[in-house]
Amino acid sequence: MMLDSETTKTYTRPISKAWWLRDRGHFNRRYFMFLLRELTSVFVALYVVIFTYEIFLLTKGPDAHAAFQESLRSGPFIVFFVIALLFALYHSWTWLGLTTKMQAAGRGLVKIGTKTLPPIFIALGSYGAWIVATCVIAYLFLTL
Amino acid sequence: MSDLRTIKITVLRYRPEEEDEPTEQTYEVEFRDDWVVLDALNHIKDHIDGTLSFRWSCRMGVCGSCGMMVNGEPKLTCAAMLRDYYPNEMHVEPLVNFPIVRDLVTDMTDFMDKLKAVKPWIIREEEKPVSEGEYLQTPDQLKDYKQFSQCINCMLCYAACPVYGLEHDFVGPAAIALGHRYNLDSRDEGNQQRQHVIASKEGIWECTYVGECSVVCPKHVDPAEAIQQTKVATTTNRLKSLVMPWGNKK
Amino acid sequence: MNYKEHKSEPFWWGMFSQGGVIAALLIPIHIFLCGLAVPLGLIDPELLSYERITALLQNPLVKLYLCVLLIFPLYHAAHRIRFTLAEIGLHSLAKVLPVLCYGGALAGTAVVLYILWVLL
Repeated sequence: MMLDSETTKTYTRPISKAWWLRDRGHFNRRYFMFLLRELTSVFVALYVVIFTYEIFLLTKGPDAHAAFQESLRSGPFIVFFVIALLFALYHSWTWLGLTTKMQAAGRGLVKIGTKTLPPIFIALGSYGAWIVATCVIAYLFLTL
Repeated sequence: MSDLRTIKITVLRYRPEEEDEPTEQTYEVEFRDDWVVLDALNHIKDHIDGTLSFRWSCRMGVCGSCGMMVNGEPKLTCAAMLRDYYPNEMHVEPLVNFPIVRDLVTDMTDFMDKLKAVKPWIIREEEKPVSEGEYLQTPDQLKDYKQFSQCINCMLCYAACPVYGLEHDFVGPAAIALGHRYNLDSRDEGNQQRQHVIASKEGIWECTYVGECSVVCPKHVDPAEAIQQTKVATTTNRLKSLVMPWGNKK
Repeated sequence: MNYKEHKSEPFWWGMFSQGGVIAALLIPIHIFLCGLAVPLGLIDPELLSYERITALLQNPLVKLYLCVLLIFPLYHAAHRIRFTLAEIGLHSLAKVLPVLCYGGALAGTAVVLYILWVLL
C-alpha cells in the first residue's frame, strides 16, 4: 500500500538507545553478542597502544624497560590481559567464522573454474592459518 | 473437541482517528493444535472484534504480506505455530522500523522506493530480438544467484536490522540482496546502473554485519552475506582500478 | 534519494578487513606470550629482557613484522569503534566519528613508524 505521507497520520516507534540490551521490551541475545563482537576492537586497540608503549620504553634504556616489565606482573595488568585475551580469541573465532559464512551464500567469494569452492575449505584454511600463525610466532619468540 | 486450548494474545492497536499513540488489546483465543498466529488473528476478526486490521494473502509463506513482530521477533504469522508459544501469553505487533498506518498494518513506501532504486530486473545493454531465442544459462551460473532470488519482499529483515532502525536512509538488506542477485546473473549487464545505489554511503557501507537479517529471513536468502560479498567485490575492484587504471573499466 | 557511489569507504573498509585478519591471526598469541606467560612466570622472563629485545629489533624483518602487527589492527579498531559509537547512542555524531577514529589510526601509524624506524 502506498501512502501519501502528508495526509496519513502514521505512528513510528523509535528504536531504543540500548537496543542491543533491550528493545521495545525484548532481549535479543544475538544483538548482545554482536555488541560484544564489536567491543573486541577496543581491546585490540588497547593492546596495540600498550605494546607500542613497551617498544617506546626501549628507547629510554634498560631501567625503564625493566620497571614496566615489573608492573606487568601486578594484579590489575594480569586481569586486564586475561580479559583482553578472551576478547581477542572471540574476535578471531567470529572473524574467521564469518569468512566461512560469506563463502557459503550464493556465489561465495572464491570460485574454482565454474564452481564455488565448498565453504569447508575456507573454514579449514582460515582456522588452519590461525593455528599455524600462532605456532610459528610462539616458536620464533621462544627460539630466535 | 479435546484438542482445543485457550491462549491469550495481546495485540498492538493504533486507530489514528481516535488516538495519537498505539495501545494494547488482549484477546483470548481458543485454538487447535495446527493453528498459526494468522489463524488466531483471522479468528479474532471474524468472531471477536471485526475492527482489527492486518495484512495477509496467501497463507503459505509465499506472498510476504503477513510479517509481524511475534513476541518481539519478526515472523511470517502464517508460519508461526501457536502451540510453540502456548501456554505463555503472546504479543503481536506490527513490524518495527516502519510507520504504523493502523493496528498491525505498516507503511511500506520506503522499502518500495529502495527496491525500485536497485533496479531488480535483468538489464541488457542491447536487447536481442525474440527471434534469436532465450538468454541461455548453465546450472552453475544459476547457482551463483539462486539463493538471493528467493526473496518475497516480506521486510522481516528491515524489522530485524538495528542499522535501518537508527538510519532510515540505509538501503537495507532485501534491496541490496536483490541488486546483488541481478549483478550475479550471467544474463545481466546492469552492474554499473546499480553500483551508485548499492555502493553509496547509504548502501553497503552503512551495514555493520549484525547478521540478524539473515537469521529472520523465512526464505534463507542471507542478505547479510550478500552485502559482505558486495563489500569485498567493490573494495577489490576499487583496488584494481587504482593499481591498474588502464584495466577494463567495466 | 540521490545516490552516489562512495569513493573513500572502500579504502577504509579494506584497511578494516586487512586489520581484522591480522588481529585475528596474530593478536591472541602475542597477548598470551607478552601479557600473561612472561609476567606470570610460565616461561623464562629473560625472553623479554632489554638485551634480547633490542637485539631482535636490529633485524629489519622484525621491525617490518611489528609494523604490520601494530598498524593494520589500528584501522580495524578505528572502523569498528566508529560504527559502534554511532550505534550505541552517538548517531548524531555520525559525520564527526570517521574523522576522529580514522584520524586516531593515522596518528597511531605515524607514532609506530617514528618509534620503530627513527628512534630505534
